Amino acid sequence: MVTSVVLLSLGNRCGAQSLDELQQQYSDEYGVYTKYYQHLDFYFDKNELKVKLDVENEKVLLDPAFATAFSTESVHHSYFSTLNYLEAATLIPTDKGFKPVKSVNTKVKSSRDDYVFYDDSKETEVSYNNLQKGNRTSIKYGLTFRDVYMTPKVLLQSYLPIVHMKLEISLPKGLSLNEYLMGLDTSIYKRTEVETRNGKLITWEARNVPKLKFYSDAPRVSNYINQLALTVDQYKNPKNGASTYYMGKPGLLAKYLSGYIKDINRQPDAGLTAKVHELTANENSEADKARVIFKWVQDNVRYVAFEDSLGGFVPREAALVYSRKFGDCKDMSSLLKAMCEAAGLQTSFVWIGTRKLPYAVSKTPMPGAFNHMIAAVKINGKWVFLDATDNTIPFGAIPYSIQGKEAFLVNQAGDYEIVKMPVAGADNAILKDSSVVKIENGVLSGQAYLDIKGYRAWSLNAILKYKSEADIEKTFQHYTRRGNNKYDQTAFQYKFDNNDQRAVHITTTFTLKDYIRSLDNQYFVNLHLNKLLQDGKVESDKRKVPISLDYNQSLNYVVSLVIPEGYVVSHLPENINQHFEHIGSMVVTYIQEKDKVQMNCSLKLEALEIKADQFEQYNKMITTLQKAYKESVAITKK
Amino acid sequence: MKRVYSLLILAMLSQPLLYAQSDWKEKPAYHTISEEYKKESMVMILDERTLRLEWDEKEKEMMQYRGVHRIVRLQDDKGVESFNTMVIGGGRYRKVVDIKARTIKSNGKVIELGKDQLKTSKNEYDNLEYHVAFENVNTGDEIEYFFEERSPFVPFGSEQMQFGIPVIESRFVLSSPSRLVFDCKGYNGFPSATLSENDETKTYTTTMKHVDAIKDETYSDADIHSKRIDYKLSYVADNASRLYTWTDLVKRLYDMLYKNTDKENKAIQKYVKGLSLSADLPEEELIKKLELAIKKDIILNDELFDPAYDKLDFILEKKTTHERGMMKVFTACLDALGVKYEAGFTANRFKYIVDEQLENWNYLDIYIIYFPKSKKYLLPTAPFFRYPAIGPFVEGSKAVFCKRVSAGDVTSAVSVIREIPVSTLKENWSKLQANVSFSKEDFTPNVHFDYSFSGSSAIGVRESIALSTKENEKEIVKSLLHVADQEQDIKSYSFVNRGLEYYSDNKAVGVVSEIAAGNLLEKAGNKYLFKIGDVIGPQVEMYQDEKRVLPIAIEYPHMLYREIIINIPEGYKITNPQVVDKDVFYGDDSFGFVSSHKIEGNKLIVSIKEHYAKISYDKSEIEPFRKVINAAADFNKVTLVFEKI
Repeated sequence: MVTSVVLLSLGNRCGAQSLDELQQQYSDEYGVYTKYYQHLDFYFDKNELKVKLDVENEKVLLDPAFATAFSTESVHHSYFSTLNYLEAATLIPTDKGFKPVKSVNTKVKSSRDDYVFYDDSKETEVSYNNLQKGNRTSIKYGLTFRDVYMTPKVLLQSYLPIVHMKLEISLPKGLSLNEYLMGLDTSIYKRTEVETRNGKLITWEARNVPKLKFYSDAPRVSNYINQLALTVDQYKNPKNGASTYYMGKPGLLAKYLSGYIKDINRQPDAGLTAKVHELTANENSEADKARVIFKWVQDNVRYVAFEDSLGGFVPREAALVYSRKFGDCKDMSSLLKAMCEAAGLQTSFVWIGTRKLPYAVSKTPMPGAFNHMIAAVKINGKWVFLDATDNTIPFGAIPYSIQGKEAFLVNQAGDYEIVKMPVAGADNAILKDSSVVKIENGVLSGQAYLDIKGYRAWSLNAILKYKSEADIEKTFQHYTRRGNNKYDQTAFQYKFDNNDQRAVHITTTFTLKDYIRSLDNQYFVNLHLNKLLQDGKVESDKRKVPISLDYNQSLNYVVSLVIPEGYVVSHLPENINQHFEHIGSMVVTYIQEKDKVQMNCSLKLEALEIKADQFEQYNKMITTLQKAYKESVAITKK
Repeated sequence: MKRVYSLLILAMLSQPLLYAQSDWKEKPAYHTISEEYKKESMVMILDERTLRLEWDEKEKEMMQYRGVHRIVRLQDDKGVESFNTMVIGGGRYRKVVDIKARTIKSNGKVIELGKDQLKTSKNEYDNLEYHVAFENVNTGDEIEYFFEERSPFVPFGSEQMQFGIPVIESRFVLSSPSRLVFDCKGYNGFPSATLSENDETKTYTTTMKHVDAIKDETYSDADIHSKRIDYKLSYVADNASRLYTWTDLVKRLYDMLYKNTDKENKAIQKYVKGLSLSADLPEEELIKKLELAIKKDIILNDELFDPAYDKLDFILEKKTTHERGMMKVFTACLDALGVKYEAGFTANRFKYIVDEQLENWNYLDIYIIYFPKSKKYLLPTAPFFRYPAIGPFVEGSKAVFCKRVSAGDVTSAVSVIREIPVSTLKENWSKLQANVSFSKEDFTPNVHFDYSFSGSSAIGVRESIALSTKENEKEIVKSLLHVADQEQDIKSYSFVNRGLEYYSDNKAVGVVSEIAAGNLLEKAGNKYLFKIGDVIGPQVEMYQDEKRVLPIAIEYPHMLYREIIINIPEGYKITNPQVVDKDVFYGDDSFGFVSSHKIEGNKLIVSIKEHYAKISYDKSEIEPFRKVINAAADFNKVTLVFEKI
């Protein structure tokens, strides 16, 4: 049975720190976890391998002004985990130790993930009394997991610093684990192992674990939080002593996942087959057939996510998805697969983890490595991936959220293939913004032509699906506005190419009042009408968490100023051409040709992630940009 | 009597309702709608709310059935995405008793959703929520849904009838047993209900065709100008005494506050004694100290629902309670200290304007205390306000107070309605003083700031500074002063009057800081361009010329002072100092923006005064108003040119 950790920490007697000591050590914090204990227990119940988790956390409030932050706490559970017990109390320090004051308010709510329309996740919320400085909140709960495959990733870090973090794992004899320690800085965690009467006890321990920091431009927390992902490698069946290999190799994972797809789409559906024949009637090549099918699903089937116990893993029948015209990612994969097969193509289901997760199936082969499913078709001997949950990308392109990730193709027999998704180069997302401007009565006016290609264009398409015609000009303001807030657009046109590339073209006519500075017989015109990344510096001395970027891109701004009659150019700023390692490059040139001055500013960003040791280069680029943005062209009357 | 009564009800129920609710047609047809709606993403063809009352013989309680019947045309992708899925139900006391949903395709095909296709989940109150996903919806199709929720009858309610999408036909129907008499009043142009009745039933109906979509305009309060209907049970049968009056409301407050047990009173006495407040203190000092103590000692947690948290002794032991409990603690302590006050309720003026004629208790959900001696107010459940500061969301609102009156040994309550005064721009102001110098080496601007905030202008600033952890402080300085590129540009900083308690004495909260502001400098040949406009921080602009529909609303009257001193470096001159001058004024001091400059030796001194004296202006004043708002936005673009002498 689980050894329960000591219920009441008895003040100084156990060597635990006093409130004063904690306040000194954590002077900048409003609270800390004094204990963050977890115990994972693998055991046999009627010869069936099971796992449960017991948690004991204790926090102390250091700054009473933040008491409301401590007043409630939640435990999450769902179809796959049952909450066995939950005790919550506030511990009030007395001379003889801590006196527990039970929490009387507990309620169970539906827990909702914003992206999921319906799921059966629940959270149990407790409220604490007596939140005064120096008091501690204590919560103890136990979860049993329905399926050993659903062993959670154990988090070793939290939003508050942790004075003492301990993870204990009890294993029966003959059971071995695959332990994957991941996170931004895991050097503080120490692992020990001892033999016990029943098997083995592994302990991961650390003191003074720093708290998690959050940034709006960071990758999802899962990518940098310190965690331990686990799978059972092999275990000895207590009934007959035979060794069973469970997980730990891609092949075993594939066998497990094949169980979810082996029973679906057994029979072809007449209506669906007829639709496929209708769509592909005039298409001859494999690629063209897949292309029309993909486009049809993108245009006609809506993404609605239902996470409902096992429904969360089993794709629905293609015929059902076809009749309802909506489904989640695995439903759409099921439909795409069935339709492509009806067209005579070789297909596969594909499990993949998006960039929200840090896992690669080749390194951590486990069901938890994935949060998404797509389909793949073989075209001319190569796999082409189809993700219809993104209804804006052209055939052959993948959403930017899965770039660089490992795709796990699995068939019903449990055979598998791992294919790494490419990372598109900077030429796959292009913004070219050219404008011609002139000066009339101190007002700058002109026309701008924008050509947007690749991911940028497709993202725009996605945004526009939620806008009515009347709102579109306003939505594009993010691209069309320039100079200052007196920008006045007198004409606006846009066009989406209806071919595979789906590029966006925008044309505007505009005026800019109060933009040009004039002095006596001179005009100063800052040709950087768009000052991209002007405020982009990262706080490099404190931050360790990387910056995450969606995709590589090229940005090119060209501004041509017509020199007014009777004026000459008296000053042109310097040209710049610099490369920044791991980040990208920038070029700024000024050229004078007859009656025009042209400024050309090109920026290439070539990193999906900028790590802390690359911040210096990144800030160097921003500083160089800022310097360039400060320069104006001067023109003087002859 | 009872039996006869229930027979009567049964008899009533067997009669068809006088007014036929829009029915759920067996064979619905695709609708034709007029050209004017063709450009909309979505149009609500029908929006009908029904309320019918029924006596539940088993529970011996009057129940209400609130029905919603809607038909929506979805004309583009945005429309389809908005209505593809919805969640119905999931309230605390309401249970969904009927639900129907279907897609009506443009070709006339109808796809009904059976009840078993509606996924359900239970919420924290153990009530079902229905997750509806309409099937096979494409651009141009319509969706229709109807649901009815059953809950114990509440004698007042409100239905919002205007939204961000247009409604072709909007309807409200209330049907009740004939002996009940309701007030059904429309607001903001929505018609009030007309009554039709027979022996058994009274039916109140109101319809409006073509309800425009309402839009949020800059500086407007769309919520309180939206069309809606409020209803209230006012009389029963022939009884002339009105029900649910303001006096009835304060009588309930009286029962809640003034029937404490001995145990509770003892606990309060002990607590107050422990605060050691001298009896000699002037009343206002007593109030301030008491509020500081209670708001520090007792944590407000509105998630608490256990009835124990209503008891003063339990609250003082556990040091936490909900809003009702907090009100009890405050009033009991004030009584123990002998301070004269009146307990009451008010409404958030941005959500609801109190109508004295229609006593809708639901909206008066903010506890408030009035002190007749000082004529000032206190908000017991507002964590960030301290007497006498109460904030713009209750200033200007009407409040209902419980006045305790005694006749001999008997004490009871009468209601008093007061209008909470709006603060003035003398109390609400911000003052920005900036002293700019330039480095000898490369002209980098260095700005010394002294920025202070008083009254309602301090809202947000005071809280964030008071509750900031050390590592967030620089971020706060950066967000208040806007000129630092990175936190390391902040060379020094300190906060003035940082605690929440300074609201009481209206001591201005402030930040003093020195920042290297490299981004404010630009070059043009051999001239330096200093973006003085950026020193005051980004200003709201109203450059877009759109026809104004709603009145102009300002959160609170306020004043903004700015003084910028430029230290002109030796060997340089400013060639265009007059560029900062501006004078835009309206009415007799309604609102204005005035900026001017003077040169004293090697200093250019710019003074700006911007003010807004009232909280609302008629929409006809939109043009002069825009001019003043834009005068500040224009200042953002002002650049000083420095030239070598």
